[in-house]
Amino acid sequence: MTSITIDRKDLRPFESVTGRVGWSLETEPHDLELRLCWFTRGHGIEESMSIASLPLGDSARGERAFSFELPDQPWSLNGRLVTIVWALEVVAEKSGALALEEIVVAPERRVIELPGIAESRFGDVAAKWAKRMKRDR
Amino acid sequence: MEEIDAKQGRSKRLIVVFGVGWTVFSSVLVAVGLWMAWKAIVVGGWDRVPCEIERFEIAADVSADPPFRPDLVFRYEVDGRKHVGTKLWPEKEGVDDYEDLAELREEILRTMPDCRVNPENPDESFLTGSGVGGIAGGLGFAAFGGLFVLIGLALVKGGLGASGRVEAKSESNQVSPAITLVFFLLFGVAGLAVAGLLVVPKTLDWWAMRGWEEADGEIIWSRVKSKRDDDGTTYAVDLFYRYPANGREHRSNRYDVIGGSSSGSKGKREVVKAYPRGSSVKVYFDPEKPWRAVVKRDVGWEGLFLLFPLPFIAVGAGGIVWYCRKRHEGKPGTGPRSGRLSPGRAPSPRLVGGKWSRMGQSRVGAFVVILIFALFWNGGVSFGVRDAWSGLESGSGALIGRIFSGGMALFMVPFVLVGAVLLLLAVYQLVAVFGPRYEVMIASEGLRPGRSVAVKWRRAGGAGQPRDFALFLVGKEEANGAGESRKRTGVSVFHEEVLFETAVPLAMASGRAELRLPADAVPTFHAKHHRIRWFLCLRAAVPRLPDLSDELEITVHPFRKEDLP
Repeated sequence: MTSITIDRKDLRPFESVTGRVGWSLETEPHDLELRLCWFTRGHGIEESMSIASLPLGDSARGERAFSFELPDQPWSLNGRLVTIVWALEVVAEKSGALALEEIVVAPERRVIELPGIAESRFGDVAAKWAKRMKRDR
Repeated sequence: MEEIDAKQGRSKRLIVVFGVGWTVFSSVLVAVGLWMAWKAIVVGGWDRVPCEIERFEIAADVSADPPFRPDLVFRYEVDGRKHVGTKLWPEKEGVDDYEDLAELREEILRTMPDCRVNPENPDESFLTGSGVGGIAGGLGFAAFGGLFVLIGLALVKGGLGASGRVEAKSESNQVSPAITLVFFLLFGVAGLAVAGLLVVPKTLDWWAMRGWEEADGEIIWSRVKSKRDDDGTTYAVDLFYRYPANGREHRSNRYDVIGGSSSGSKGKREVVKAYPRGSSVKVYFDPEKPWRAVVKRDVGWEGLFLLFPLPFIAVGAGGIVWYCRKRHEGKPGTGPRSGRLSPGRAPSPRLVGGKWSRMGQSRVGAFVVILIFALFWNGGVSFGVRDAWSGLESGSGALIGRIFSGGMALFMVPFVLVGAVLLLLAVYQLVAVFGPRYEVMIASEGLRPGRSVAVKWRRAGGAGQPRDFALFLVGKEEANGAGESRKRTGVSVFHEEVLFETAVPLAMASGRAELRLPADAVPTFHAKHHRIRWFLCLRAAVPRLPDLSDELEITVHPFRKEDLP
């Protein structure tokens, strides 16, 4: 059982994300750590970046407070193709991700919605042609 | 998400299986190369024994393959017993080019080398070995196979890599950097090898032939030689002739500078018809090495084949440079443990504050790239077309042969059409080179959401007067691996705003507009597979010339701590 408790989940760049992390595992983990990261979701090849990490040691049980300072970007956003999600994640070397809690990082403390302009002159030419051909058929 | 993971798992297993098969198959090439080198080392280690050459003629037999063989007798003595040898090489029986054997004979008769005798069987001997060349050839072959082994290992490594951890996500479903590097290396090495072994020597030959002397020769035999392999049948002009040079009679079967065989036999048959047996022929010979001669020393349009390795070298070198730059930017897929986005990932601003920047890409560069690609494509396609055409035209084959040629001709149609489109595109791009060009400048850098900045533009050459002119601020999101096939880079526009629009020619020549970024604008973001990008875009319709559609990326920075709203 692993839990991440976050004091405030809607945050702005440069603020600190704080809370407590607790874990109770059946066996002693290897390189257990708490990570602050962002990842993409939805379209395209998924990618992620770990921004900061806090080692939690090798003991099977424990609890401790954490605090990470957030960088200036990227901001949490939800677009047609690009969706960026910030999260705190507990990871063990062998077991992988044990717990994950999402947070929001944006100047207005809410996920930015990117609108899609349907008939844009500057969009994906190939997609536009494909759509046109489908319509003609 | 689970479905995607399962698919990725299956693809990885397939990659591993394919990589293992590839590695095993390539290892055979390595083994063969090493065996060749070892054999050359072994025979190279045979005893050197002084010998006396009794006879060294070159036997020519038009019906033999290869047609030219050494007629050689040499005598030597081992442990007081006399032996007679007849072999010039340890393995080879003869050669296709008379000149090679003639040159070897001249060298042997001049230097009178020792022969090599098998210490375990003194009856076994040869006069000249492949020596260092044989060892190098074997090792080269092994190295060639080794490159393929590397590709196989990289495939296996790529398939086995990637754990379930956060950083690993970005590594999934993409080509391993090692594979990319090996691929480009392979291209570059292949291009360099062809250039070094074929293009440079042939070019030097052609240059030297300009100073060769003329002689009247006589045709001994003339024929079109055909060679059948997996790629079909290829043909070569085979003229064997004698000629007087420096007071002696010499022979050669070299017809032209490049040599080799190619598809299409009609032209070659005409050449052979023009030089029947016993007819006279004008030949050019090297006054310093009179056994070297050629009938046709002009290269003509076939000289373009010598440019063949250039695209390979360009792709190889360009790819390696690209790879090194990528490496320099930072190890892909692993982010910093703390702090901001890796500086290497940050976009390099194309539009620098206080400095005029040209809109759009280099049109000349685009034209050259398209032209080279079009020529390369059409050059390749022309071989297939010639094959199909000569098959249909020759009429020598049975019905099945004609059906095959007809099928081949039909198969080539889409390739020919693509080639035609590429050529049209090259022409279009050439015309676009002469279109109007514009430059833009922003007053300062440090664009942030909600801020405004002055944008100036000016005409910077080119012909034609646009009918209308518009400058836009455009925001795009891009994702690699979008679409059902997960191979495409998807683009979606989230912001499109007209900054300036006019149909007045004077206003198009130069002007100024205000660029105000929306307060909720998202900063520029460049990750490996996802990007948020902002552009200044110019659209202009130009009569009788391609319309302008240029863009220049601008960098929108995130808020500084003190600027946060």
